[in-house]
Amino acid sequence: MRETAGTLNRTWLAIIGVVALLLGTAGILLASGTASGLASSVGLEPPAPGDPALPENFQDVFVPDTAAAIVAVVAVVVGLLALVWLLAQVPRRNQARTFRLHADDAVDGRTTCEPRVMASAVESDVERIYGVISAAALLRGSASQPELTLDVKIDQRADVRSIIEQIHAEVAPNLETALETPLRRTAVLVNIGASRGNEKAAVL
Amino acid sequence: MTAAPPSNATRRRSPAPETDTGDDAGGALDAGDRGSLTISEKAIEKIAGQVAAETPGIHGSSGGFLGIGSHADEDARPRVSAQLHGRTASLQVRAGVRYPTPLRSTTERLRERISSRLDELCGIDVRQVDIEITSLVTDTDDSGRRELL
Repeated sequence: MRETAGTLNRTWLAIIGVVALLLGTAGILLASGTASGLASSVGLEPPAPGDPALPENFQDVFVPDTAAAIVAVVAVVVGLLALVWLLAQVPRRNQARTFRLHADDAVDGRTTCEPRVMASAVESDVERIYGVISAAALLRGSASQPELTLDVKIDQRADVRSIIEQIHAEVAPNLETALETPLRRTAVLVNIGASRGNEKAAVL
Repeated sequence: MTAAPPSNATRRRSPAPETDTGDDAGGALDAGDRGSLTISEKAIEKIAGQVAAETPGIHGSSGGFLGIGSHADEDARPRVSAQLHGRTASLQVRAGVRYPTPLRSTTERLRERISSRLDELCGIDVRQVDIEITSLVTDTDDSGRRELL
């Protein structure tokens, strides 16, 4: 039901991986001495072992007082970015905001509906299916591009296939009718529960 | 017997200005000259609520304490609050809608009905009707009620 930062993690891990791969390749080339051969073949003059690795006046960069402050600010920024990435790992429900069901100009007035209201209607729709013990619905996206995520707890002897078919044949079309737009995605998570659903009265 | 004198008194008091002006004009009076009709904000709210309740697929909610624990009730009037500016009104309606009906067209029908009926009944020009859908009722939701079929 909850969403994790999968795409963000994959993107940043790919970037860090590529950078680490480049650094590692450069290190191996330098250590094995292949780099000097490659440099001379390209036309560059490889430095002798006694030459300084950095330019002669490189230490002067760190002499002014502002240099320490700049380094500190950069470190804090990197630290904050790392913290944001860490906080993004917390799984979120990402429930839709209030659905706006009016025209864009809303001259005649606004029509709004909380996604929680719609989700509870979907839940009672699912719980009507034979074999379902309880259901939890979550709506994401917007009124024009809704996404439905269902967590259905069913009886251990229920027909899973028929329940899923009924969800796709009745519950999802009902929501599409209400919102007057096709669902962008319907996800159903089925759990098996021990207790059986029981209603005290039947409505004909 | 005790109730008669005040009613006579009011009867005597009310025709007095009419006869005065009637003598001046010497004929039938315009409605505006006979007096003014005041419709309170509360009355408009209740009329709009009743119009909404009569709209198919729209219902109100009842029960609960301080707004907590209220449940959808098909016999209840939707809650309406009105802001009046002269003869123009803007309304906020908190209503439940039957599920699954197309919400946009149902609320659009409710909006048109409220503004046309308020215009007919009270002569109020309704500019905006904001509708908040507070509940969606499926056919099986009213399992607490039993009907003789």
